[in-house]
Amino acid sequence: MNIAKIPLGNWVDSLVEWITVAFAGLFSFITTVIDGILNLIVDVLSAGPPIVLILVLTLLVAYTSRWPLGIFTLVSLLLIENLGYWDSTIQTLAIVLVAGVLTIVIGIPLGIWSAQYKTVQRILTPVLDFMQTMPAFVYLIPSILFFGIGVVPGIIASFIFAIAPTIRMTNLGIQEVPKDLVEASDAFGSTRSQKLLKVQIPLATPTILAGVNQSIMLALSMVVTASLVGAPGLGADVYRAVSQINVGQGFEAGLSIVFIAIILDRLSQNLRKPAYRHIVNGKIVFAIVAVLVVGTAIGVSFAKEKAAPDGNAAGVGAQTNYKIIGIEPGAGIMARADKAMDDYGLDQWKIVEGSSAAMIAELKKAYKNQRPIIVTGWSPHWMFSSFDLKYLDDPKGTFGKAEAIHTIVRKGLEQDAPGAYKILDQFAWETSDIEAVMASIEQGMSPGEAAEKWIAEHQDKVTAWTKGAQKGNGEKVNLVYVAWDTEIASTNVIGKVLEQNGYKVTFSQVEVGPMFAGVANGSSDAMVAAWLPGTHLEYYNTYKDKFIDLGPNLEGTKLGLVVPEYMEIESIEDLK
Amino acid sequence: MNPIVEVRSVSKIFGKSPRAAIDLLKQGKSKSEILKQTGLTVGVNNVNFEIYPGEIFVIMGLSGSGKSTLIRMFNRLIDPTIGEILIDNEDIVKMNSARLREVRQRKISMVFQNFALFPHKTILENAEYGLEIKKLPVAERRERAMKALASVGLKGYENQLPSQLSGGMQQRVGLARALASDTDIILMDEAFSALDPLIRKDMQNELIEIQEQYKKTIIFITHDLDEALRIGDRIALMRDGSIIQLGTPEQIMMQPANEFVEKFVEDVDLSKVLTASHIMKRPERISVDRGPRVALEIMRKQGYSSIFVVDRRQRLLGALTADQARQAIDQSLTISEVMTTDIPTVTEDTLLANLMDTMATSSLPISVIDEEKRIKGIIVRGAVIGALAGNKDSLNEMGSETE
Repeated sequence: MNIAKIPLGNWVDSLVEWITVAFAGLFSFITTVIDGILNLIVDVLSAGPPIVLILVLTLLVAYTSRWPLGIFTLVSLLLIENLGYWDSTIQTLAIVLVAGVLTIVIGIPLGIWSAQYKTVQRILTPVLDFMQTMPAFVYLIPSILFFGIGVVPGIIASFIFAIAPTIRMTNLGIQEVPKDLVEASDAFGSTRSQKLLKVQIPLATPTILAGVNQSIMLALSMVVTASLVGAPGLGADVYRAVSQINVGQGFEAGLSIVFIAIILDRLSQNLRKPAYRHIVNGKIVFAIVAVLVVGTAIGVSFAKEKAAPDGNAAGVGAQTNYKIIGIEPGAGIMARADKAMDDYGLDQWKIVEGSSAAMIAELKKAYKNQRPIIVTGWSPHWMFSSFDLKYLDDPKGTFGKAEAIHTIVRKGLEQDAPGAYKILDQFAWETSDIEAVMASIEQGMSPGEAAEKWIAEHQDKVTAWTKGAQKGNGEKVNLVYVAWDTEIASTNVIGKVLEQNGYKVTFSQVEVGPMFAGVANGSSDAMVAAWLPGTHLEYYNTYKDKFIDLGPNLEGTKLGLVVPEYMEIESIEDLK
Repeated sequence: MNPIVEVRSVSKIFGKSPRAAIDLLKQGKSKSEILKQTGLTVGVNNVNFEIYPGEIFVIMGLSGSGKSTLIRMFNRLIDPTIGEILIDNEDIVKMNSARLREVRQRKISMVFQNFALFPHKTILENAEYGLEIKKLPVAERRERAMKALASVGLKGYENQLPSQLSGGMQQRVGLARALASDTDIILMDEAFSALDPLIRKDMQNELIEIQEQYKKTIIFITHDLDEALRIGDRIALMRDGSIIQLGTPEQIMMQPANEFVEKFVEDVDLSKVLTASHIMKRPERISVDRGPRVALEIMRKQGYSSIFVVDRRQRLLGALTADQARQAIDQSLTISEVMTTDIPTVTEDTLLANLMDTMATSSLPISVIDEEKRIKGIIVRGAVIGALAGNKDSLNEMGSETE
């Protein structure tokens, strides 16, 4: 059997590319709308001092779910506020609210539709199965391409992930309405819509609300995932804590998410039958809440009207919304970029956290449409060979001098696998080499293939690395790396070389923090991806006594803010 | 009188692509043969009959006989495979959905076996549902629903929910809902089957009363022969999707069309089927303006110990015993002065079951009178006992016919 690999991935790529172009207008419209709604919600929630919202939420929860939960709400929200996660919590609440509203607005009609027509149900069911089992991360990829980086792709991905229960339960609830009641409403001559509004939906309401409750919980579980593409809030706090191995901060942010989850769960579960409805009619309470919300919204928008935007409308800042597209929050380059904002006094600017893949996607999109964009960039990187880019001058030297990438191995590797140790020690190459591998990967080769190709073409270099190293006989070597294009390339090349010398190589792709921690505690054997002395300095300092630094394998890396050539801006100074 | 509903060659075949089965039906193949050959189920097989305005038409049969399918074809909750169902001379099968909705709103309403009340609506909201669908103004539909609820004896319950009511009350709401929508035809699908026997009897009586008041055409489905005999003006007996006999309760009881019907009716309590008119004998009458001697002479000739006294228009006034006649002769009194006026009377359609008490407490034969109080016949003990024993000789040939 020798059938060529079906280019499914390529087909999906071209489909997504086509969609990106064809529906660009629609996507930017959706982005604007969702962004607008989200900002409005955030503004409303953060209109007064935090204690106001805390009290309102406390009263609401107490009203719907009895006073003990009200007390719990009060205490937990005050704790969140005390720990300093209040702004993140508001962001998260807003994201979940928007995802929840989208789910209700789109999910319930779809559920009704599929309950009414067998054909729709037959089509929807497999689609829903697919949507629910596809890892949520996968949705993030096209979401970035369609909606750019930031909160919108996060919301869209959460919404896709969360909508299934609402559709299913709506469908189920309507189909479970007793047959004789449906017959009765038919027998008296109801139209389809009368039957739906007067009989089916009222009777299906408990089931529908159970579905909505499930969807809200799922949307909340997505906030951490969504932060990979730049959604702010508690998820981003958790993500940052993960990439920096900050247990305490992770626990605090995680606990805040748990509190929010409990509050939202109880609220949405008991909305239909509030615990104290015999004391105060539910309609009155919800009317008061609605008036409060709408009133605040109007107040907020008036206040906004007055605060006219200052600054140069035609400047770079206005064109890019004062956003610099960054990468993973734990990366050293992000810390540098933050410092640069301070050093150059760029208070208006915001560094958007996300991931390197997301950053590249944004860059691709902007470059294609010749739009201005500023990203945090580094060399070696294939983007410099694919696009015309330039570094912004850094007169204050915030981003530091040129760096080197080091090879670091665990203690004891020399005794366990001396051959592998020697090869890793002798591994060294040039920027042009690594960029060649990266370019092959970018053109669609698998990293393994690209590494083999490079090895085949550069036997002299490989021979130099393996000189005097004894062959292994099947010892396991675990290489750990971060998902940056440079590290994917270098780790694969060195991995192949080790394999050719009789070692059994496994790869682990993790975040920066875990990469260092892994080598330090011996759970992985080596990495060829430590950017020093700048990018990874904190991690290096944290663990430096626990592993062995074999020195640089590549010299002359560079960090900085990167823009396309077509932008008429030369220095970070010009961003003011 | 023109029929209000005409059912013409209606068949219903369940399953996909019923074409094949239709041809087999036309060849006269049985239900089981068709199931074997095509895998299709025949629900209703070539049914024909008419229903006239104002009658209670009962469709009776065991479960699986196709009666529930048939009733659902009258308002097209189920579409017939072939055939025509004319309602006021308009074929409901050919109607588009808008016209069908109109007919369901204006001409034909339905009462369900398990009440099918909307649990989230109050009794009043349930009762006015049909009017709400017609988009009547709120005040008017409230008023009509309240009236219907009052006529089924549920005044004061309008703000309760169905779950707070007993089964009998719930079914009254179902009935009120059908009455309020003010349609000429009411379909009742085993409406009383879910109620306990005592409440069932009450409901049957109430239905007959309500029908008197509202003059509806009621198509009533039941699997219970007693119920059919109690309320049906005419009964259609179904088996395997076909109607095997259609007639008045008496016809079904007295001339079963085949062995199946005979089996079906044989353990029926005859006292609930036979009426006074079945067993009454010719009465001996005397006009009140005659003298007591004439009366005594007639009695002697006929060998009776009493005679009924009527006026010139044959209206019953009382009974005269031989002793009373003698007394009148001795004291030279008129018949009217000595006769017994307090005598037991029944109407022609009184069931035997309801005669028993009267029979036991009276020494006189019971006289049968019509609504004008004219005497139609008399009932003697022997005839009642004979009739209940199934002795056909005890029955006269005057059996009441329902036109």
